Amino acid sequence: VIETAGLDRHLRELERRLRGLEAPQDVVDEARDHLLEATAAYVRGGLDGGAALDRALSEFGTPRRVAAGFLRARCVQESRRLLRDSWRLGLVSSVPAFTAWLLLPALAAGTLDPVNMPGLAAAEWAGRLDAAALAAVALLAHVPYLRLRERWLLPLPVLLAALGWFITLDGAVASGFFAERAATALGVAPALPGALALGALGGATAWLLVRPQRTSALLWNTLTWR
Amino acid sequence: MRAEQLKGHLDGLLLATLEAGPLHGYAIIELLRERSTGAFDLPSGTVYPALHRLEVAGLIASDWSVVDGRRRRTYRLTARGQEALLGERRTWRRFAGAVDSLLGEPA
Repeated sequence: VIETAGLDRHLRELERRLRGLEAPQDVVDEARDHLLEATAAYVRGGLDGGAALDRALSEFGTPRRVAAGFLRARCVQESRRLLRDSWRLGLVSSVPAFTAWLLLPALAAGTLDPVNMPGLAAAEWAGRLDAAALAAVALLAHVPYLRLRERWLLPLPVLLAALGWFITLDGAVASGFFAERAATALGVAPALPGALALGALGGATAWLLVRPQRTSALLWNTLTWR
Repeated sequence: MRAEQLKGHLDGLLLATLEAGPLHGYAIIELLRERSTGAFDLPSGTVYPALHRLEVAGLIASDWSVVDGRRRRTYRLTARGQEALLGERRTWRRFAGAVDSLLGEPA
């Protein structure tokens, strides 16, 4: 007969440490099945129930270590999701590049007064940074899963969380800038409240598409579990 | 062998254990231990996150059943997993051949 109090304590601790993961109960159930089977095998090998369970628990690893492995795996999963959704990032981040492109003919014709265009340089830089960020995303998206070494598990979420927040912020700035340009093109005096409102709308849209808080939360988990 | 030494190869090894047919976690770990004659004696809890990663990557799939009154997850190789295993095997043979030509028997 196996005394399961130690097993239950171990599994409760594992479940507590798996907070934030999807379906933690599945992980706990799988761990229970493994530990009971390992314990039974050691009992068949001649150990008494208590010693067999102790050995099975010791070989399984501490709840902290096992949970950390799952959290890192989730981080990779989240990162891959962001990579798969890179076309959405592209959609949002193309706004500043598109804006700059719209303004180029006016600039070339000399009809645009750079003094009244304080946002143009920023938009151009945002476009360049976006292009670089998207190139990095495209590159990372093609890293074969089996080549994704352990040492990538921290830098990848750091990079992607930073990228996600950058795109979100960029979406807000670019939308505000675009509103100001559109108003000028239509011959309407640019209104700050309108630009701010469109900027907020652009930022919110980018935030919903990119969901940078998800990767950031997992990044935080990874950092605190190391 | 320490877990750190296996990190680059663990996923390929796990795929290889499922090549012959579906297995549950404990059986996978036992097979790893047996086939390596004890050299791959990993903390068993570290294998489950790796299985989880492989499932998320679509290289393996799992099904639940009830055995002896408790839930059991059984893993199987997917078509993508088969392809990945072939790739891993090719890479390993090239690598092992190159290492062996240097570290093997002295010339």
